[in-house]
Amino acid sequence: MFHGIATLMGRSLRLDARQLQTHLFRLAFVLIIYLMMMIAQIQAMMLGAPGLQFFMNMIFLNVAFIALGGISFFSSAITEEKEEDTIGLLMMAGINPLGILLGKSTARMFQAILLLTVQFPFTLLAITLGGVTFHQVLAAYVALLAFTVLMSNVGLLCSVISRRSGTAAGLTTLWLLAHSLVPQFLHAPKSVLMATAWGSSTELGKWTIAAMDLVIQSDVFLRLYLILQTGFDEAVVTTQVMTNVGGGLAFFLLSWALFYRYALTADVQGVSRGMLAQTSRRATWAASGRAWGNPLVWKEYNFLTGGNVYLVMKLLGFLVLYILLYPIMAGFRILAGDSQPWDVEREVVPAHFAIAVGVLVLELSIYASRLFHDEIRLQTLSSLLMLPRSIAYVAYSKLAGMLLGAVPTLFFVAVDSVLVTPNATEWFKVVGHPGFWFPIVLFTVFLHLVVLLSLFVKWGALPLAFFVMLVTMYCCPIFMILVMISSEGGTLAHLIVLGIAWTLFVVATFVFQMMIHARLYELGAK
Amino acid sequence: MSESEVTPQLPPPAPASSLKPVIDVQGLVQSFKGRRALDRVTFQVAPQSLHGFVGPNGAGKTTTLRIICTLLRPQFGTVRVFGHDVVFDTRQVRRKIGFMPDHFSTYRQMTVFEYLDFFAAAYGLSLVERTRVIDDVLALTDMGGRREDLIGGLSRGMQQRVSLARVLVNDPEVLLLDEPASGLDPRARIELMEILKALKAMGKTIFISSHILSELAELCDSVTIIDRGKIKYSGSMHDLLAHTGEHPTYRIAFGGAPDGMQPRLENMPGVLKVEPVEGRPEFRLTFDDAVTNTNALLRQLVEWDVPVTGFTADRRHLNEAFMDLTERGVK
Repeated sequence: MFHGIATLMGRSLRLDARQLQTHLFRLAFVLIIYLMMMIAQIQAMMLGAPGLQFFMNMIFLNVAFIALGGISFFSSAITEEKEEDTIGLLMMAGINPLGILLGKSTARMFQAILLLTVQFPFTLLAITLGGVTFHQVLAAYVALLAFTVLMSNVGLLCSVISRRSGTAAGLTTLWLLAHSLVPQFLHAPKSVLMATAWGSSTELGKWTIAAMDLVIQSDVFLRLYLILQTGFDEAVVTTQVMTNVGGGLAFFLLSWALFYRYALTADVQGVSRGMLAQTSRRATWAASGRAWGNPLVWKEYNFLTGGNVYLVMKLLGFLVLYILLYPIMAGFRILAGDSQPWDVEREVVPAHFAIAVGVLVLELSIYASRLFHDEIRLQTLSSLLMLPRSIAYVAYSKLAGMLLGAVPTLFFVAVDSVLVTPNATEWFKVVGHPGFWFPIVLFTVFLHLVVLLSLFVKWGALPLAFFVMLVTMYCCPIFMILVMISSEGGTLAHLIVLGIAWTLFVVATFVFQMMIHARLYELGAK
Repeated sequence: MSESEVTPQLPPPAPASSLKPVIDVQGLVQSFKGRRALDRVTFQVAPQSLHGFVGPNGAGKTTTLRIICTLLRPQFGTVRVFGHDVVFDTRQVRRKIGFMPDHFSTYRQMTVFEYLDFFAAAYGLSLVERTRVIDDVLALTDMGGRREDLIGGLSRGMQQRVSLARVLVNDPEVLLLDEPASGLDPRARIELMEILKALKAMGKTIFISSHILSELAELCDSVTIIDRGKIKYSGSMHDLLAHTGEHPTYRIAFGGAPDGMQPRLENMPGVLKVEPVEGRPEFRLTFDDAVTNTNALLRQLVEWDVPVTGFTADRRHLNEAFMDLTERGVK
């Protein structure tokens, strides 16, 4: 067994060492660290102790890096073997499931840990710059290492149970969202429970509170927040470290237990058309029907966004959400001890609006990542580009089909935006304000980036685009400055800023569109 | 009754080779990362012909095909399809051709009908036209009974037929097929070749790149052989396979392998050269027809009382021509 593990790990590390991309990624990582150091140097001229800011930036970069690694790098450990149909060959070579899991996943975990370890000496500079103690640096890196162990094994489990890398990346993203959000929502219920007699006196109540506390304490974001506070002197190894490492081990064992069930019986070539009916088998309205005059719009609407069935489901879902939000908002009020818990009309629509915007962002991001990626995966791009149409026509038609699928969400975002403003004048004032358009402009640039990256990477274009945007916005604070100045409004300076922002937006989208065009042509010719 | 009424004054049908070429490739040069993939490639494809395009792996077949079907711009040289330049009249060219790549270019989650309907609509066919065309192509490819099946659930052979049906929905005049029989079982391969014959009979020009030489020899009227980016032969299949030497060459096959046969044949009067055929009890014999003839040769063989099972004018196999024209070694 050990021979097999060593072989797989050796292969994995050798491949990593040979690939130019991984070295470029590391170089980019180092460059970002140097950039942060330069920013810290500039800040040192104005601030007393720039070390803390530098250290916070480093931690922020690492959290983003581990999250991205979990979503893309770790979650493809087993699925890439499934996609290449080589799992059976590895088993025939005498490597058992444990060997495959250790060889494929643990090597990746070590690579990530290595990247964290090598930057440790640089981070010690934060102490020299002032504002941070060695204890804080050590505690932060131990917390990050534990988080890496957890993320790598969550990615591994998703990789074992998923058929394709894209699905595994999606599952890991969902888990990461839950891991980040659930502890935040548990604070209030926990306080309420502690205040009640049931929570403080019964065994079940005590256990419930302990479980909630464990989940809250396992949150790496909370832990890092505490570490970055001035005067931090808690132990290095805490509940977060223990639960993250323990959780990582549990996920690894679960992956091992489920390996035979999922990894060996997976049908990678399986076909799924979601809830789209085949014309002859179910109600006609649920089927795709005949192709439309612009068949590309028809194809994306039906086969990317789910067609009529998903459209109706989304419409109904948003309507039902209005009703569901009443008891949910009232529940929060009850937990907070409000005397009039059902007086929530004013809160329901903003909550609905926030959810609709969140769904729209997620929906469009996912569609953008799949818009051309599915064509590449199915090797259909050359057939599309052979049509007597221009590449631009093909691309914009596909985009139109994608937007058609997002109509219900767009509709509710528009309706809610009207409902949350007191009158039409106020609505026009808000919509007419340049600050309102900045997030939309940035999101449009982000979608372009997602599409572009999906033409280059096999999987994980969405988290990669998110990472690139995050780092770019951090490294080029001009974006944030523009947002801040534009929100002031009304002055000549404001108009100049607006002009710069729109120029940047137009240039960025134009460049991205040209790059997408060139890449599509290149892929079609391959 | 005038003479012209008795004898219609219609011109006789021109032989295919004298017609204007459907595909005209002139001096094509293409390099990738400093490596020359195509080096002054020139050939023509006659209308309504089945033209084979043969070459070892990495010879430049797929690159040439991708240029002809407008997916790749040529760096130097010109390619015309029905007189339309592939760079300047891209849309005209695309309307006239149907390209089937060497992989299944299908939407696996669609039914066969949805897939064909999508492409028919993409070529601008009306709803009524689409229904008719899809019925026709499904009948031609014998897929009528599978129209509501998901493509992902079909066998390789069936998927290949769906790909071929897709290529036919816009009724192209030229079909460009890249390794269409690759990965198919013998039955599916034979059935595919039958469909190609039917298409040729319908007047389509078919340009087919393939590794399966025996089938090409049987199927094609003309052939182009390419090796390391250079054209080694382009012309009729008959000319390629016919022995073009100064003296006649015949193949003599024996029942079994008689010992010492080669020196005996070499000592026959008028015989210039005797080559054994590798792996078979056969010899390729070249003789001076001014000194001897086939009757004399056969008479001598009968006198020797050796079991002759075949005596035919030598036509090379496409495999042999291919091996003679291309260089050895894996590219």
